[in-house]
Amino acid sequence: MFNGLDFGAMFFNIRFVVLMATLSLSPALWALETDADESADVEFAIFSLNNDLPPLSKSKARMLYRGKSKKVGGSLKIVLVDLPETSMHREEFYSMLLGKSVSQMNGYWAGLAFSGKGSPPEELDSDDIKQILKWLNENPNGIAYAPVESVPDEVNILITVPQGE
Amino acid sequence: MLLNRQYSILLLSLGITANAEAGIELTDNILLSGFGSTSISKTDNKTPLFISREISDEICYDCDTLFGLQLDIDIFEGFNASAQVVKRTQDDWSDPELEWAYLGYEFADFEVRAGRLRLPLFLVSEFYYVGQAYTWARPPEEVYDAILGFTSYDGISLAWHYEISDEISLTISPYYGFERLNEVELGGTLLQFDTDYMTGVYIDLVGFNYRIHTGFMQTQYIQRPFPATDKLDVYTVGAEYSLDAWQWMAELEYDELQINWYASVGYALDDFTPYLVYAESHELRESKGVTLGLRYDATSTLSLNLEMQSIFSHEPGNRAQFVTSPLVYGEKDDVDLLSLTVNFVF
Repeated sequence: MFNGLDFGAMFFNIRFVVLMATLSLSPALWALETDADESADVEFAIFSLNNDLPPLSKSKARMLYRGKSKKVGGSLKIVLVDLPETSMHREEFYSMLLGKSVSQMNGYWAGLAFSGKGSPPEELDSDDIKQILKWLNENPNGIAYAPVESVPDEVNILITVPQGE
Repeated sequence: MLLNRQYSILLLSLGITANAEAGIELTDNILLSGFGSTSISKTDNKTPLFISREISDEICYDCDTLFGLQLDIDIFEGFNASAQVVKRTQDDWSDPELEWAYLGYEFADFEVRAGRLRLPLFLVSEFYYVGQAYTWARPPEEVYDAILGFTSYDGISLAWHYEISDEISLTISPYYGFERLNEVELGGTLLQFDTDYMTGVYIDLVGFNYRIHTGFMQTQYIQRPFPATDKLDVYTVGAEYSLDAWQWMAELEYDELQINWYASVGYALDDFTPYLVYAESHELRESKGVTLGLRYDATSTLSLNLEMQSIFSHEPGNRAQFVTSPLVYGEKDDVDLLSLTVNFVF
């Protein structure tokens, strides 16, 4: 199929280098596109009913929602809750906070669930704010997200996305 | 025997409740989850390709078939236990392997585990058998098969997790595995290693969209039937980085016998992710390979991979990624592989 091994390998090496170079140039363009998309979208609040939880930086929020951090304020262990997979808000939220699609996130959660390092967030049956508040009420160290306009005034808003920094 | 019974009980208990998203909650504190993969694969070479998979030029429906069950138990404050039983690609269904079984205890920034544990050498070591969790059909064999596919040790580990800042966290984890027998079949020969110990450490630097993993392992063993004691030092380094739809990964493995590496890039377009992998093996195995693949995420728990892989040997008669020298089969040194794989989790 391929005459001359070295030639074949060289061909692939060159093709690979060219492809990698092309690939590394494009993210900048891609980033511009997503930023433009984001500004038109809803704003989300990441919030809790627990007033002891400190405000989150955007980096911290991203670490939490990638399952790479489980604690806030140094020692307080928190729990996350997710909206159902059918929820539009879930898709928008992950795309805004992490730039990830639902299927990309599903891959990460599968890795996390089977790594012995933690588990994906519990999933609610509906994205109704009453359900979210009920879950937060049962989970004192729980953190949830929802569109900012649906969130009642008395909750502890830790950060808003995409605005917050 | 005991394992078989354990496995049957686990299989029977699958019927209890079904929640497709997050495994099956047997009680508030016990979670049962599972994963599996299978494929249709074929090469253009009679020599069996890849350790423990042995794909050749006849269409194979069970070369990549694996199925695993995992039980996670929250015992009480800080204590947890986990067990994973896997019918690996090389196992019969009636004889699966207890891949891990440990008791863990977390206190402050530390975690101690004791039992059978996963060797933390590579980026995807922890979910090596969970195809749903990585883009490829199989982790790149050049690197992941370097130590003959051994994945576990029996011993203890300590992990220290430290959050350097909101952006970066650090994990340092030394481990020690006690004496045991490691076995693997390679091209019809059963290799047996009486391992005195397997000890090492890994260091992870983690940000929200990247991870840098470095590992070191030293093992002392006697390969039967030879009387001599050997020692092997294995060094690994790997990094993954993702930006929006892009994902880059690269890993390198080095020991006294060999050096292997790969680089991989993927781009997620909604439910489709095309990806490209380039890999090289040197010294022990001599090959260069390229993989072009497409992953399709059909649902949140089911995915498909279509993959075309070409491996070029650069030393005539070298085993490369085969289980034995292609000379044994009177075959050419290069191989092309086509695979269609299904992965699922529950």
